[in-house]
Amino acid sequence: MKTKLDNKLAYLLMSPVLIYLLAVMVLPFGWALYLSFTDKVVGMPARFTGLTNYIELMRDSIFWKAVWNTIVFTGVAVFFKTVFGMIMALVLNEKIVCRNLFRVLLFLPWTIPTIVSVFTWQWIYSDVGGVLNHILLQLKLIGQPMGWLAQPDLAMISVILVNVWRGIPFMGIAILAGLQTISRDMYEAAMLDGAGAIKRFWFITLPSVKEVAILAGVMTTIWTLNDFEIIWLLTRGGPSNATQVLSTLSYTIGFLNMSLGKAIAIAILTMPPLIMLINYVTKRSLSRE
Amino acid sequence: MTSWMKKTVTLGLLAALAAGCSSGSGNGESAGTGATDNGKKPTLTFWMKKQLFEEQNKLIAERAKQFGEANNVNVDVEIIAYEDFYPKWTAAIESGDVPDVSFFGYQEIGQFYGRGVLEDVTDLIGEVESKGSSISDNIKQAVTFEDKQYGVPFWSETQVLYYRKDLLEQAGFTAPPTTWDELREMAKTLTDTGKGQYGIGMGYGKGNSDAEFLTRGIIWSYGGSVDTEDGKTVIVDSPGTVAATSFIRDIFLTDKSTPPSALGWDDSGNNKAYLSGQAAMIFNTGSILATIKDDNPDLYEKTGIAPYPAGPEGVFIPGISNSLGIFKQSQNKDLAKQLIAYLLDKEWYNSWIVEGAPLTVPVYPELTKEAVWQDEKNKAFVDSVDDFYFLGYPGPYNPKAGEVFNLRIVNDMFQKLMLEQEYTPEAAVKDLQSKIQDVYNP
Amino acid sequence: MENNSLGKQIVVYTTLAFMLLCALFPLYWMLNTSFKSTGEIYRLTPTFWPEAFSWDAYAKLLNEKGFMINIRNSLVVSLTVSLFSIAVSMLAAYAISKLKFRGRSLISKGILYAYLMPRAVLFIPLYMLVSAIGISNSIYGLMLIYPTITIPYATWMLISYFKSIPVEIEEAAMIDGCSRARTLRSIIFPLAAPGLAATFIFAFTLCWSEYLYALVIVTKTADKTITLGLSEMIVGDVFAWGPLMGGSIIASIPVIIMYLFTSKYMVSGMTVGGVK
Repeated sequence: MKTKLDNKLAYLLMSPVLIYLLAVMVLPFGWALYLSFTDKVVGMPARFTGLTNYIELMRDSIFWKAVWNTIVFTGVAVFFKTVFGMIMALVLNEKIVCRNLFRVLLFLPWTIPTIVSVFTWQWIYSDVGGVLNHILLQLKLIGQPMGWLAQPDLAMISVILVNVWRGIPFMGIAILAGLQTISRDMYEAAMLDGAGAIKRFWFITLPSVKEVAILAGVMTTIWTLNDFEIIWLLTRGGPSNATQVLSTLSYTIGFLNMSLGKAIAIAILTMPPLIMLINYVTKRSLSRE
Repeated sequence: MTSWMKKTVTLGLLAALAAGCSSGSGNGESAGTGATDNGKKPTLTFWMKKQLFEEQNKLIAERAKQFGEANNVNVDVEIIAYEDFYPKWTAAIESGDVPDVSFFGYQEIGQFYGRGVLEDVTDLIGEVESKGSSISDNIKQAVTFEDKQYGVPFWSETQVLYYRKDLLEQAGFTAPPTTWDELREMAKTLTDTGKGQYGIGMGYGKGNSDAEFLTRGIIWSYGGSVDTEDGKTVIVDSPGTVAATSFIRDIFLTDKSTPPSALGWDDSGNNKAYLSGQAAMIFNTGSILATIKDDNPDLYEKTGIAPYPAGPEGVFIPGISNSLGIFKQSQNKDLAKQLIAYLLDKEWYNSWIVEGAPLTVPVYPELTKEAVWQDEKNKAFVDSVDDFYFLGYPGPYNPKAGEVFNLRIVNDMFQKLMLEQEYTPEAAVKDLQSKIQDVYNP
Repeated sequence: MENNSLGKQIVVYTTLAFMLLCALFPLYWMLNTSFKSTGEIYRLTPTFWPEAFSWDAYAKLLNEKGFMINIRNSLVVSLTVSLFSIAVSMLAAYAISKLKFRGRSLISKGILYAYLMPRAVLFIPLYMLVSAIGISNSIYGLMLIYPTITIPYATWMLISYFKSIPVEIEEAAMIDGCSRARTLRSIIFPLAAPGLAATFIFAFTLCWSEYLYALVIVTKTADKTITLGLSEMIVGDVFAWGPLMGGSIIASIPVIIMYLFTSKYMVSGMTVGGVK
């Protein structure tokens, strides 16, 4: 029905956002982009070196290890966050006693500043006075304390666990809000028509929250891909680069070694998959009219 | 329905405005008012590392303020945690918005000197020494580049051996180990994996700086190196390095006298190990001693302190030297120099250092004769300064050595060594040689 | 209304219990640790209940003026930024989701492109920007750059919430004579209220937990936020676990209150006759 173009109105409404983003983000982006083609080191002027940074990175095996780790970390974490988030949303959408209380409680992991949850988990994972090992030992599930952050494979699982624990409420609440927008009438009508619980879920619930779920999922993916604090504070990328992801590698090269040009090059190399994700989800969202 | 939104927005904005207006006006704690544009009173910014003891932080802030009053200058003192300095320095240097005086570890002095952002303070040191007392030579050496100093040494820290006197006695040892071999023997005897107790707590987590220092201390004492002699040719691959590497590996894999989880320890890992009784011996700075004095007097009594054990080539202690430096981009360099001199006034300086004993060690050897340093537990800290060696040994300290340290190349290699059974010390050292070579000659 | 069979209830409550256990266990551990004495914290085997309840950690925190100032700063910044973000994002989201205009695809992608550069790199040029304007080392600097984190997210989340409101409802209203603005106020808002509330609270939390920008931009003690205040309890290799955990608990309270306040609006049942 709305086939005429609403250019003026649209741009008017979007102007605050556009002005802000252009004013604050464009220059920094440009600065960073330019520097990735130089040999910039903190404190010294930059010399244009073309693709040197990129070539050096591609030749470095640690770079590729970081790429792999990033894929594993992001893929697994986002998967679990989505699944558990969906479960959380469904459960909280039901009529249960003290529902509001439970909503607040399940939301808590997200409210705690990241550094705090990292330190708490570090303490839980600890081999000295760490409660995780203690409980597993008591339950006789393991024979001796495990080095959650000391063994390469375990370390990856440990950092993923913290990221998932922290991130579930985001997916959960985002999907829940979407569930809330579904009119009860639709469910009633469906029930009157004889549809069972699974059918109702598949044909009413899922389609309605699909938009929100996919969007929240993409958002989570972007954030998880760029996630830095959790891994940095828990393992710094170790042991032996087992949890080295692109963001931690970038930080190490950029700020401990002050090779800014190279560090930014890493960030830029991370962009293609992000751009593809963003393009996909925006196209999808916008085309569904 | 939109009225709630309007109300909230209005309230929020009003609250923000109100809070914003009041945050500027004094809460008593904040530093100076900042504006220097009217040219009347200049503002000096001083970034200082956060010390473990709150008392030290307060004292130095007060002293800086006093300087301000005495010289009609606004002094902004900011106490910052060490790890937080890196991004702040980077942002400051790039934007030109630098503090006038800043704390620097000696590695950073090297790195920043290499970038040409530090002011030459050789004259200032001369001045300070003539007014007060002389500063140890080897400490000055660490911040000397091309015969000029770029940082004024402010305090040192040293790693020592902490040992449980009671556990050692139980096992029949009346004195702490004086050589690495003795240490190894004692560690073996003191290990009881059934009880979860280990002889020595040595960590190799990726963020671990304790390990980087300790490993170097051991390697140097075997005659090896992780750097160069002339600043250019990397001499890592040597019998000394291999011997030291085998030694450490044996403690982990053959004797198994360290906790297996130590491979994931950060700097607080060995603290935890010692405090909980998991490890009978560890190497650390004075931070632990200072905390258990208050929190755990019982453990304090049972703790013995000794300097690093000796290797075949002697005792080599990785020195930690902290300085105050001035950025070239600073607008108030003369005032900055005066502030530093003011902070190194012997009397006040002594009162400050003593608050942090035994973690903070004075740069004036004269002050080590004070009573506090003669205490049995504190003596080892000051005695170690004479055996200080710095990154880059046997060559002089240079920025590349600092880079090798920051990249945790040594740590990484040892982690791999402990994790892979077939990786031999010889192979590991060869890899180390080539990786460090890449840093020196990219 | 819903068919509350016994089987279903069991499934729901069991899942709920399991989720609560996983979500809350670390928090319980934080509380537990905050009440212990340092000696007890460092034992080889942990205790599940403090042997001697010690309020020391909390007393220290509340007495130290600095900590409460940190909370105030975080509150001011988070509230201002999230309200501002929602306000402007809402408008942009409406435009993108409901209107047709030239450049729609490009602009909507562009907003999300703001997330392409990680903060660990962006902070330098952002600091230079803030410094050039003269608001570095203050919470105003934070208020200027935090929206770069919240706006792209808020805009897109709101786009999807707006989209889930059936077009027919709007059309029906406009046929009935409502202007666009009135439709926005009386129909879209109420229906999207849960989405607005959820987006607000998340934007708030994003600001509340932010660490890197706060670290670099704010040096003045009086302007430090809560994340800085907490991380400062760790000096070198010494973690003051008691105050750290206690501080975390205190730091979580404002967010919880904020959530309780907005959760009222996350109620379902905004039925507007449905789509018959």
